[in-house]
Amino acid sequence: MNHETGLPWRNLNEEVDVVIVGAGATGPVVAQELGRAGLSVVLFEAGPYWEVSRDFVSDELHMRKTAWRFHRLTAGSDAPELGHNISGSGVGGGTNHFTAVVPRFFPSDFRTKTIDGVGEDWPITYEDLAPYYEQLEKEIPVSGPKHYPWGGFHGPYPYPAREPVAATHQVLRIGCEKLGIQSSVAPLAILSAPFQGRPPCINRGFCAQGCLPNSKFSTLIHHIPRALDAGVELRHGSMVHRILVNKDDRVEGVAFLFQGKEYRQRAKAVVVCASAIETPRLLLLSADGRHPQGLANRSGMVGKCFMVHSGHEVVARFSEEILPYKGTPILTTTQDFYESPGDGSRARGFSIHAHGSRPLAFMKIVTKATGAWGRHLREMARDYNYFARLTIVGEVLPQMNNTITLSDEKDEVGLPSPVVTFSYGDNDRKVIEAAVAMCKQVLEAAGGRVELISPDTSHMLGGCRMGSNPTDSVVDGWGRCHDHKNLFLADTSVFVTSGASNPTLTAMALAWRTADYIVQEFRAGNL
Amino acid sequence: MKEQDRWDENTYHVIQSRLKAPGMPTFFSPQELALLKAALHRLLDEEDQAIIARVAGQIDEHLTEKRGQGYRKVGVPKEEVLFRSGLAWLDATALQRYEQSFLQLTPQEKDEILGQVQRGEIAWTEIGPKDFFNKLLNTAVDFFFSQPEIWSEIGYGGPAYPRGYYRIEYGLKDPWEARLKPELVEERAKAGMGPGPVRRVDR
Ligand SMILES: Cc1cc2nc3c(=O)[nH]c(=O)nc-3n(C[C@H](O)[C@H](O)[C@H](O)COP(=O)(O)OP(=O)(O)OC[C@H]3O[C@@H](n4cnc5c(N)ncnc54)[C@H](O)[C@@H]3O)c2cc1C
Ligand code: SF4
Repeated sequence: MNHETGLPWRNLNEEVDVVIVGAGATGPVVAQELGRAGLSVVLFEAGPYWEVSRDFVSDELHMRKTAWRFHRLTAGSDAPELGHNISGSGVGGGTNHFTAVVPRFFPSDFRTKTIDGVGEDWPITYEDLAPYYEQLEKEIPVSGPKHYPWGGFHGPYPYPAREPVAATHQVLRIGCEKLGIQSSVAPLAILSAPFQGRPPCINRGFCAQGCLPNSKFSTLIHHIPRALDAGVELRHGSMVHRILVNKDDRVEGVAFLFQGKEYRQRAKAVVVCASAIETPRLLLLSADGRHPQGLANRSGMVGKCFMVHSGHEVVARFSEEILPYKGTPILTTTQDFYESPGDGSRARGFSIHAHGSRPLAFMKIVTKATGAWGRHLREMARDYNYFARLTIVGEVLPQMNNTITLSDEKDEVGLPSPVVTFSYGDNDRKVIEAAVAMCKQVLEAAGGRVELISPDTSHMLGGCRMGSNPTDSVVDGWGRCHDHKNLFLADTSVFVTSGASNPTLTAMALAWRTADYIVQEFRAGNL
Repeated sequence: MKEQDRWDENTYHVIQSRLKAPGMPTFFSPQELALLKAALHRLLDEEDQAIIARVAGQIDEHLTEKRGQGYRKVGVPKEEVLFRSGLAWLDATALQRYEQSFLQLTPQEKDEILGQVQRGEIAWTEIGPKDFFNKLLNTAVDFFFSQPEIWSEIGYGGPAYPRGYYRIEYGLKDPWEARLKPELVEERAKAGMGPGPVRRVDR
């Protein structure tokens, strides 16, 4: 027990081996691996330590509490909507309310510059990540088809596909079949059969509100207990606001705020897993006399090339009931349009997912697409059960002017708020246009009438990209900062390009790989 | 709602507390609250005063607790400012136009002003009319469509835990779910509410 705080902080006055910042999708993976290797680890999380049976409720409005709520600003011609739709807070981070679609990136995602002449090549290849993808898919475990038609991995997945699929997902299948497009049940971190005391999914559709029966994977229920078993110390409610660095550019630990008071934790190495907004922000917040532009920022690339996925929603009305609230939100997908088409009309592409809707999600699309209110709004709402929705995951290319910067305004704990500036580029818009047109075709082929098209975004990526050249990237292919030997980044901020797949499995695979490397470096006496 | 005995305890409590009649407002003044309710009445096309009062009360609570959305666009004021000065401007616009408070206007007059606010056809200072309108509408929609009566009205199955759903494919329903009459489906198709029956190619 720590006397100052009344919390059981074990290691506050010692230098530990590793501090990890952020217990979202990636931090707990790193924590588990380092803990198992016998390193002393403190894992920091700004938000609360959720307890599923106490804190999770089957209600859209109530469960917005799992979002990051500290004040942020957005700018740019396509300023993204953040909130619940984008980032998580509390132990488990985004995995508490993600929809658990976990395809791998395609091999070509790591080589877009070479293959398509756009974006940038990653310093690593698909093959570097493949063993980590495989381990994760087994460990979580992932359910998916026997044969997956696309990318570098064709199955079979460790757990059987989630069949049957709900009507809202059958729509995508039917439409694709008519058009001669391949479709598949999506790979999901959701159980189709029992696993270690967790029951299979009961199709109640609340994945984005936190799964009550624990059928859906989250790091909260999976990696965290394993990390704690391995001796990792978890400090929730603690916001790291500065990384401490000495004269030799070695990182010495972190400063953090707990209930308004500042504390310090010394460490031999620091791993930041705080998300594509908070990781660059923390590096910028850590500016000092010797690093006026922030840590790890000699290249000026901290906060640059921030990306989101375009996530337009296309909704069609059917004459029969669809009951869009039944079934896991996303169950079927097509990745037939993932890469550059032969006709040169655009570079790179998109995925299309069938997406169930609870009322708030649906009504948000209605108001955004139509501006409807009054009688018109109620008429649309009354037909809620007759609508089916497709969502795109469109690749967005990295651009220098899409950034995370610090504002003059302060957030609730007194730190400068981040400003998220984002605008689509020409190619991004071409991808969106093609994706929306394809969604329309699929819905119409399935017998629907398209009535609503609403712009949206999902998934934040980049901002501290990896690369082999220290002048145009922040970390190397292992996640190690070019400027600081013992500072690592291991989350979605290191993405070089966005791909057109939901990114979390890739982020976790990268994190695991970085963890393995850190263990090696400790064993070699380099840290 | 009739399924509420089947909800888990925490969900049951959250939904029950949403049904409670609101207490005194803490963020809004009584005059502001009256204006908010008048606007909600038109925006949501809802005649039931009790529901409107609950939605208004829950918006008041939301603003009191500064729960926020976690973000806002550069140049757009905080939501507390948007609500407070937006309601004041709404009333000021009514007084200027009709020499009457917004509260006294006919439904048509209210709708006319609200439409102009939505389209940004009115000059306000400090806040943009469109920013106010979007914030008001989105917040209203969130709280209104979280009311259990409205779930029943639109045919949303509501929280389904611990029971879940098993029969999820086209045309299938679990035994406890409400049925639709085939005549009704036919009628909808005729009325142009959908392009005709869907063919089930994959079963
Ligand atoms: C509604 C929704 C649906 C999604 N669906 C999918 C999907 O189907 N498939 C998919 O692949 N992805 C999905 N995602 C995205 C996925 O959630 C993210 O890609 C993933 O969570 C990112 O992982 P991360 O570790 O980078 O960040 P996060 O998971 O956001 O974790 C960061 C953690 O760090 C904490 N933190 C931040 N700053 C600090 C600090 N200074 N000190 C201490 N702690 C800090 C935060 O509180 C948070 O818990 C979805 C996201 C949302 C919101
Ligand atoms: S649909 Fe399945 S995985 Fe999703 S919340 Fe419900 S039970 Fe959990």
